[in-house]
Amino acid sequence: MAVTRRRQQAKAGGAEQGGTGEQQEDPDESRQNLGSKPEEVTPTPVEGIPPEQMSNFRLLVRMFEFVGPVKYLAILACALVALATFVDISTVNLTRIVINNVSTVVGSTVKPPALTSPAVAVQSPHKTVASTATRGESFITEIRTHFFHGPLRTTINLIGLLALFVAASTGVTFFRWFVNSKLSMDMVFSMRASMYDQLQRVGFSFHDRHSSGTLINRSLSDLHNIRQFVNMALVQITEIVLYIVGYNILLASISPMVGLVALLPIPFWIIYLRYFSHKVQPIQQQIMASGDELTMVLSENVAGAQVVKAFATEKTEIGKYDKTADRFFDRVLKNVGLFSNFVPIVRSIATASSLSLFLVGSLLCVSGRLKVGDLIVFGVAMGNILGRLQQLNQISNQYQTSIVSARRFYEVMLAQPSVKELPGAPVLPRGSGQVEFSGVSFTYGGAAKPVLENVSFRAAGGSVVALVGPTGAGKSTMMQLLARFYDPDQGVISIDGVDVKTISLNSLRKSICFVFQETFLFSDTVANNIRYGSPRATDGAVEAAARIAQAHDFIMELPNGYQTLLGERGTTLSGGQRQRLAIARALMADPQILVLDEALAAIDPETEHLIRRGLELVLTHRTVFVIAHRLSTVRAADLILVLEHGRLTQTGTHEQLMGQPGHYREVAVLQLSGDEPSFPVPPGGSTVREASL
Amino acid sequence: MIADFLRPTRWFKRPGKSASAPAGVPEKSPTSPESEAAYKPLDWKVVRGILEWMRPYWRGYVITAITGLMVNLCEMVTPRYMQQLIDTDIPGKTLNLQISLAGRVLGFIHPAWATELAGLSRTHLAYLNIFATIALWAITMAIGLLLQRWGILNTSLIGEKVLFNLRKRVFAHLQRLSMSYYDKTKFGRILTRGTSDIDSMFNTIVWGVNTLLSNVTMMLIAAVILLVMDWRIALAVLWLGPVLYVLNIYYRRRVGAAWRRVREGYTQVSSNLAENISGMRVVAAFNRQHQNLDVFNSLQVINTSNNVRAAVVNGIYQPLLGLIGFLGKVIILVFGAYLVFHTAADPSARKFTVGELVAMFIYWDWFMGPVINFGNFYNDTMMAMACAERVQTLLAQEPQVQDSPGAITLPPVKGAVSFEHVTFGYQSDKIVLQDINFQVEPGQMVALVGHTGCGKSTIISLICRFYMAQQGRVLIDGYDVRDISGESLHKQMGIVSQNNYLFTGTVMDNIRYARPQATDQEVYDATKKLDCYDMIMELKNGFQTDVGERGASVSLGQRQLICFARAFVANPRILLLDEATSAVDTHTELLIQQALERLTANRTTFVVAHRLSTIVHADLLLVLDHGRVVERGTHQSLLASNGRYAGLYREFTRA
Repeated sequence: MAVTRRRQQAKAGGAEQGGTGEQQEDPDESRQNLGSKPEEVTPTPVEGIPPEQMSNFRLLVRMFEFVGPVKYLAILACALVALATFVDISTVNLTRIVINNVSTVVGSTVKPPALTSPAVAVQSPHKTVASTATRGESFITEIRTHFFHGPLRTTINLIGLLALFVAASTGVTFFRWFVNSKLSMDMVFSMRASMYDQLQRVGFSFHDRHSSGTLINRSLSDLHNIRQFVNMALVQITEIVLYIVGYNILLASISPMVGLVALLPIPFWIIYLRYFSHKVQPIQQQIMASGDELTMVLSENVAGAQVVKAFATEKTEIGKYDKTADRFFDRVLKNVGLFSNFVPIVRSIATASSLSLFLVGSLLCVSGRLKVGDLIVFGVAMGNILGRLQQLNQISNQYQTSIVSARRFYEVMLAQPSVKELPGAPVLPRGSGQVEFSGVSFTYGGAAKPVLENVSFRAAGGSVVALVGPTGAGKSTMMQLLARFYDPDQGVISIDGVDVKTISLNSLRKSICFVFQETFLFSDTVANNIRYGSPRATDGAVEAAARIAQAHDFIMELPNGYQTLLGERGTTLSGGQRQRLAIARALMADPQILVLDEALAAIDPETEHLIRRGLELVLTHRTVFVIAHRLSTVRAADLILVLEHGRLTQTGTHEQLMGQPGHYREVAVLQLSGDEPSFPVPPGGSTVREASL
Repeated sequence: MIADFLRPTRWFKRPGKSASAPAGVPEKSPTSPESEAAYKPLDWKVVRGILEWMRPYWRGYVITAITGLMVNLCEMVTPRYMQQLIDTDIPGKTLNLQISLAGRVLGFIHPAWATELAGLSRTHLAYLNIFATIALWAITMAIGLLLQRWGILNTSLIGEKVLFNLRKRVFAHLQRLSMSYYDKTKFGRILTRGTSDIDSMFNTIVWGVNTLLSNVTMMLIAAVILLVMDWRIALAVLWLGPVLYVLNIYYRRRVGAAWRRVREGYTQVSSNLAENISGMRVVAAFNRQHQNLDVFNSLQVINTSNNVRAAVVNGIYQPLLGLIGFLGKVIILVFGAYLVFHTAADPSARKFTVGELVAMFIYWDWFMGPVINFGNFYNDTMMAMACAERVQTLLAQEPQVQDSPGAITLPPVKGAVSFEHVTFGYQSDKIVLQDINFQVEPGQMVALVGHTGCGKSTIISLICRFYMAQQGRVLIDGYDVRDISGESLHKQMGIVSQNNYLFTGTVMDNIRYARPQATDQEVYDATKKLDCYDMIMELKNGFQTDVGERGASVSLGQRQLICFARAFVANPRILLLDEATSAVDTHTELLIQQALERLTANRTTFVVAHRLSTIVHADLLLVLDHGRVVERGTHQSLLASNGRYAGLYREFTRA
């Protein structure tokens, strides 16, 4: 899955830059990607500071801005790392001293004649061991002699100190877990919250350009990459540097010569690790790409299972999958080959360096310049230095990933909200709901052709306005301008005579409600979905809204009625049922202006008829905008606006428009000719019925 | 401690698979809002299934396991070299030529050399011994590393091969399963079976056997060596092993529970985020931004506290485990130091040397390592168990609709379709269709009319044999669909479903999907006949235009026309059509109507109708209500009889 995600990001990234031209030709394309997108959407390049032009260094610096709020924790974490490193190296050093101590005693005790009397041993406890404890002496006495008076005593004391250090390191480790987790979580908390906030504020034009999948990935995996890198860079680099320096100091303090020898393998080590990273990365990318291809074939076959079965192409599909799998496997094999070399080579270098240290150390030992305990340190030190260097290499790889992530992350974070509220903007007073467009023109950012050109009309409060016209004419855009999801380039849009730009966004959007063709419901109960726009609505009000939207009956048939959970983990509803819930949701919000954007398309004709009857009751005193292709839906409107290529070409009632040549009459005649009507034949007049018969 | 770095650790990881990470990765895990069990305790049935997958390669597994053992043996010798070095290095300590490594090696090569060595001074002898030890050490490691290279290569090859076969098997099996499986199972779940479930088994299938064997043997060998070197010290420390093991299990359980909470909390955070991003338009339209941010942050607070709590559990247990390991070291050091002093001064006793002390120290580490590492192995295995069980369940799933044993190949048909007393329900207790009877002549067009959920699409599914009727028979040209092979049946059928699914590829690829051997000219002709040639030529690259994932880069109407063309090229005798309800603009609508008319000409066609024009042109209307055919006839005759259809129709047209 991880593989898939990464690739989707890559793909989406590509589309953002290159997709502008082709999407203009085909407005439907974008709708497929984003559930409830309007039809006229055209993507645009990024506005504001383009993060793709930011240097890696600036991105790196910016990534650390999230450390700011948690800087004390970060400092504490680093301090703990320093403490832990110190304790750890000291432990190794103490072990060395213990072994040295033991070996010195052995070295010196062997030479003198073995037999000494116990008395002598007691008199000079630090020189010889009272090892001649006569066999008659009790074991306890023997131990007491050795432990408390012999040279063993020094050893025991040292071991006691060692234990103390280990106890300390236990405590430090505990605090490190705690502090690191807190640091990491606090950081990710504020990152996520600001991303979330930004995504909610940034406006529709941004969401038009980025598929929701991409954005979800960004806020999860990209953010994770950045967080991980920042965390790594802070804590781990401190640790690595301290360890390497600490062990080198320890080695050098034991013997400068050994310290030098220990530095020898480092260049080879680094060069090999870099070399390997460079070599392995392309193959890993290939593997990921292949893996994604594999997932793609699988996912297509699962999603299109019906087509595969219907055309009996199972065998072809298996062949296709096997071929892709073979390619994947070939690449995996290449990778296996590389890694099977990597491990032994890396370990060879490590072994060779340790062994040369042992060799040099041993020779120095024999001549008395070192002690055997020092040898032990060599092994540990070499292992640590090389191991930490390898971690450093991993961090540098992580850096590459995180820079890519950071670039995408800041593309979101630095995007300017397309619609801004004036400071202290007043609330829209509740009026009759009169809507006026005067000279409105609008072009989606980056698009060459305007979506709307010089659109002017006035809709009286409480009237029903129908918008008709071919796909891509700008109908949905008009409605979105009204709710200030975008701002027009020219012209003024006003509600009850107040320019929408001057009032608070909150109150504006509270007074306008949308029902989109593709309904988005949240994974929550039916009741909560209906009261989404007005969370304090009573159950009674929810039910009333549901009844009007003809949703009450099917809701009662759900397993838990209004408390039924919807969404991924809950009940799935049919398209028509979803639309009815969306209508109930919109009614619940009690808007001054209601926009039905192809809202009845997925509802079967009989239900549509019932809904329309229900709506008639509640829609008095509201202004209603209906976007539809079906003549049946349109003809009863008080005002019909015909949009073609962004221009308002005709306005009037059905009767008026039928009386003049133009798009409306053409379409109407086409639909009424009996050949074309959709099943719900236009309402009303007998002429219509006869035509369709 | 000393030889930590020389120990064979598991460096090897395949890229892009997070499976090898320990339990502490849920922060990164993908956002599947529907969480399935991540871990499952050991289950022999599942293990047997896994072994079954590995069985074709059992020889390879045995050989690589033996290689692993040999690598282990090479590694296990090295502390003894350390011991030699240390004992040689202590100045003033008598060097016994006979037991020194150099002496033994030289004596082995040529007995005379050993005696010559006797004349050397202690220092020279020590130098000689040091060189000999380091050289032998290097040779041992070289052999070990060469073996390891071979081992890694072959273990990975075998393991990858097993996974590779499994992947293919899962895919092929998915192709066998009937539509009922796809209808019942969520898309994400099916996808997971073929992808991450298999990936998660990587560690277990590739390295499981090896890890288990080498860890167990490493522990055993270390324990035996400890006992042989000095049984008293060994007994004084080895009991810590079981203690640590028990503690580790307990810890795993606690930390497992903690991480489970973390995962659950994280899933809530990520699905909240995913949902709100997908529904951003609704969020904005209903002004819920502030409230949503509050909800999101409250989920984050829970997530944070879960994470910190898990970290605290780790913070307590991890150092505790380390502490116990260290306790063993202290015992060895104290006891060892005592023995060193004691035996050094006692000429009659066998000497316990500093070298031995250090060697025991290292062996203790090696004894403890597997116990501590066991946690990772345990996690991987539990994860693999959960995934393997799911994959096994999938593979054990029998297709609901299968060819009967003696299924015959359906000869080219004319296209007569009849239902005889067909009763069907997706679940046996919920009847969807009841006692359906009808007969359709070849070339007729049948429109199925009725409300959503009345069983229209189910009739189509039964004709294509996506499901089998519980009672009654479905006959095609007199053949019962039960008795013929699915493939031969489907080859003569075309389906255009409501969602108009397209595959990634060009328009051309998609049109000849059912008949890949169709020439370009045939495709052009087909589209010209359907009057959508111009429409396709207007696309960016004409017939070579990429339709995008699931046809996302062509419009709804265009998609529908391409699907018509696809069915036309397949040239089926029987066409099954589920009309799309989505609104398209009038021009496209017109194109679709015309294409539909030409597509259905001269074939038996069943249409789930939403358009009046379709209904009016049908030869037979079947009006369905609650799973029964309530009326049948033509549009005119039904209107004339003034029954249910007429009522429906008036209802629609009056409005």
